[in-house]
Formats: sequence, structure tokens, C-alpha cells
Amino acid sequence: MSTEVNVDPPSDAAPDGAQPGWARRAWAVVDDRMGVSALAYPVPEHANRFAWTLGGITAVSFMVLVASGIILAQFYEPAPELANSSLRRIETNVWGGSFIRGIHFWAAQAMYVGALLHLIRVFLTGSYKKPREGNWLVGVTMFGLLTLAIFTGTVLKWDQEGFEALGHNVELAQLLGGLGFWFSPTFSVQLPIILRLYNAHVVIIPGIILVLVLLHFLLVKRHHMSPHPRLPVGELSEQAPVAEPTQPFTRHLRRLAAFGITLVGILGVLSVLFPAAIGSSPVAGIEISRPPWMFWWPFTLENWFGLPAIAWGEGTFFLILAILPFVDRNPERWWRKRPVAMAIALLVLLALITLTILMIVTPAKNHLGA
Amino acid sequence: MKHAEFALRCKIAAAIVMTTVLTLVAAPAWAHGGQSPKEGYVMVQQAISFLANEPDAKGTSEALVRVDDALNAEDQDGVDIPVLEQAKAALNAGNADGARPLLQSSIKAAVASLKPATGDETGTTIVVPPLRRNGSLSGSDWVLLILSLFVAVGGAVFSYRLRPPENLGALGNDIRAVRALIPNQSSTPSRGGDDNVH
Repeated sequence: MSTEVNVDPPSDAAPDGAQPGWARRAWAVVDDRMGVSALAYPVPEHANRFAWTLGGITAVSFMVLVASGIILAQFYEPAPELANSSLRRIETNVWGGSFIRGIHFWAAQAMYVGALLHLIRVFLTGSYKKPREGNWLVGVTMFGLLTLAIFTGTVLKWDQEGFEALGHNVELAQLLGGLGFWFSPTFSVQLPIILRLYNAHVVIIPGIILVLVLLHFLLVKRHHMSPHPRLPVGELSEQAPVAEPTQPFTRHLRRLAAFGITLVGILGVLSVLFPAAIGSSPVAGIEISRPPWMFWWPFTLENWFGLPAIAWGEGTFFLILAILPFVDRNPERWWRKRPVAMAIALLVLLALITLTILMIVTPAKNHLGA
Repeated sequence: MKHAEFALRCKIAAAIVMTTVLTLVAAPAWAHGGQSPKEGYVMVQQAISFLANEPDAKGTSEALVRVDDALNAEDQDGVDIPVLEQAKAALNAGNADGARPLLQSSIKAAVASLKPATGDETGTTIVVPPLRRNGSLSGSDWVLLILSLFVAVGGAVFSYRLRPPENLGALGNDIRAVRALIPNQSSTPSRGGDDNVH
């Protein structure tokens, strides 16, 4: 029996034996060569629930970022004297420029939130456990790269906020010594650092993310969708039970497409009602701005303990994520049977939320050059 | 298996230790220096930035501090001191709007002689305030907003129609029912077409 499930479109021959229409024949030609119907392999039914499509929604956000970024790159000038003014031109003189830039900004927020929710879901359902530890590490790496992408994107505005972010980065690079060489402005002294950050933002980081996304998808295909801990599992608890109904993966993709369309619409609404900001021209030696919200918690640490606390805080956070599958050896996946993991996760989450909230009520103060 | 786990944990610990040593050995003292410019014209730019970003008494007060720093700076190349003094007088009189063009004018010569920026230099010549929108939506904004709403609602309807046919509880019951009918069912996960397809 075939291991793949044939779904739409149906087989070439029409039920009454008549010649299939031109559309079906065209589809057959394409499918023979591109193997599209191979995507219709069975996946457990729970894979179509919203929580199991968060990773796909994150991927859709990434595609929106790439598409809108390509458009913006046609009008953006990555030079210190011109960057800020080129963005203002995009906002005011390019038709749809403000909308596209808003889409890009809000898609970045959506990708970060989507990745965070996906990470939390994977944690809550124990989907990082054997044999999926490698894929968890791939995901954590992508999350780190996403953080870097948002950082470089902020700097590229080349306004006061972006320049202050760069200033923190440069001093952290000095702190890291040998490890921070790439972020040092003296690494390639004849170039303005904004040009190297632009290269990182549009080529290096998205390129690596793309490779890792493909690896991530292939590993999901290899290990199959993780079981839902609320459903009865078989003796092999790493996989969904044989008794669980399945649906073709193309059904999952259709639902994901629907969510993606919804997301694009929401991004459009946000882009019109809350356009992306451009701050004042950058001036060295002052700190009067706040970073984007996802960096508020390390900056509260900086307010308390100084600049090195940013590196220690972020480093500790990603280290906890990375070692999680190797430290948590409890084979259970249902969260109620994992009290230690849940307690630690709750503590970490509460700490991050508290530090974030504290940033709102703390005025910006000078750390650079202190 | 225990030995393999122990070996893996040792490798992870070694990697952490090596990274820490490399960082600490290579690092100079804790962050020093950084963005504390000594040029008078940059101090004037700082004053303009405060006025642009904080158009209140606090911003004016900070700007005055920077203007005083510029007036006492060792490096005043390209700074027109008399014009800077006029700007200071305007700030003291509470006329921040009048002071900003005077401040910009006082460093005209300095910024005109700047070379193209390299490294982490700002390249800023004129300090432009944050871009502010007028608050109301234009015609094309309304078109884009309505189109986006249409797309969002359409996507939401499409998502709802493609929702799973049953909730988790019902799905769990189905699984238990199937397993009760076939008690010796293999625990090996299915990879093939003998599953139910809806």
C-alpha cells in the first residue's frame, strides 16, 4: 500500500473514464516533476491545533519580513550621513513606503512573539525531549539570531535610539574581548559600522536563519510531530499513538495559510494605525531613549549592576534554554507531572516580566562611558 | 548510556569553562571610555538633541548643561562662540524654539568640515527632531486600512472553517475507543497509509 496519501487534486482519470481536463493534466505535469503531492503525508490530527501551528506562523512572519525588507532595501541608504534621511524619505516621499515599513516593523514584533509562544508551547508539552533535543537547539539558535536581527534592525534606523543601542553593543564588544571582535568599530576601521550591520541584517542573519529553518523542518519530518501530552500515548511515548487519526500535511499547510492571511491583515491594520517611529538624528555621548521592549529586561539589569549585566543576563538566559533538554531527564511530558521544570520556568518567566515592567517605570540613564 | 551522558555533560561543562576563560583573558577592564566626546560641536549637538526629544523644562535644563560644557570645552574648532552665547540667552529666557536654530547655526563651520564618517561616528551634521505624524489618516491610509481589515477578517473566517473537527477531549476518547477495539495494537508510530484520513 502506498505510504503517501493522495488528496486534492484527484487522480488523472475522471470517474467516468473520460479524458481529464487541461487543468488536471497541467497539475499532473507539474506534480510529476516537483513532487508536490509528496507533501500529503499523514500527520497526527492534533498538529492542526493552533498551538501546533505557532512555529509555522513564526515562519510566515519571517517570509513577510524578507518580502518587505527587499522592498525597503531599494530605498534605504546604509551610510551614517544618509540612513536616517533615507528612512524619512521612505515614510514621506515613497508611495506606500510608510505602510511597507510599518509591515516590516510589526512583522518583526510578530515573529518575536510567535517564536516566544512556540518556544513556550514546546516547553510545556515536553516536545524538546528525546529524540528532539537537536531540533530544540536549532530553535534556540534561531531565537538568538532573531534577537540579533531585531537589534541590527533597530540600529539601522540610525536615530538616537538606534545609535544608543549601537553604543551598548560596542562597549559589550570591548567587554567580550576576543569574542566581541566583529562588533568592534575598529575591526574594519575604514568602513562605517552601519554598513557591516546592514550586511548582517539583510544577508548574514536571514541567510543563517533560512538554513536553520530548513533543518528545523527536516528534523520535524524526521522525528514526526511530537505527541500531545493530553492525549493517550502508546508505549513509545516519543510519538503520537497509532490510534490517533491523521490528516495530510497539506491540510496543516492550508490552516497555516489561513492563519498567515489573518496575520498579514493584522500587520496591515497595525501598520496604518501605529506606524513605525523614526527618532531624531543620532548624537554621541547622551542616553535619552529606551530600547525595544524585548530588550527591557536586560536593561533593568544594567541599571542595577552596570553594563556587564546585559551580557551575563542574556548569556544566562540562552544557556538555560540550551542545556534544558540535557538537564531535564524526566520522561514525563504532561506539565502536571513535571513540577520542578514548571517551577523553574515560572520563576524565570516572572523574573523576566518583573524586570521588563521595572524598565517602564525607570528613566533612561547614562551607562555608556561610565 | 550513563557513561555517554556523563561524557556529554563533561563536554558541555568544558565548553562553558573555555568560553569563560577566553572571554576573561582577552577582555580589558570593565567597559570604559565609549561615547564621551570632547569636541565642542558635539556638545552643542547634544543640546539640540535634548531640545528635540524632550521639549519641556527638563530638556531645556539638560541642554543648558551641554551648552555650558561646549563653552568650556578645550576643542572649540568650528564653533561660533558669540552665536552660542545668543542661544544660551534664548534658553535662559525659556525660548527653546528660538534657541535650536541658533545652536545649529553656531556649529555650521564645524560640521561643514567633517569627513565622511567611519567606524561608529554618527555622521550627523544637522540634528533633525523625531518624525511626527499629523495624527489623521490620508485617503490612501484609509484604503490600506480597509483592505487590511478585509484580509484579516477573511483569514480569520478561513481559519475557523479549517478548524479541527473535534476538541482534544473528544479526540482522546476516539483514541481510547480505537485502542479498546484493537488491544494488541503496535506502539510503533504509523508512517503509512493505513491510518484514517479525514
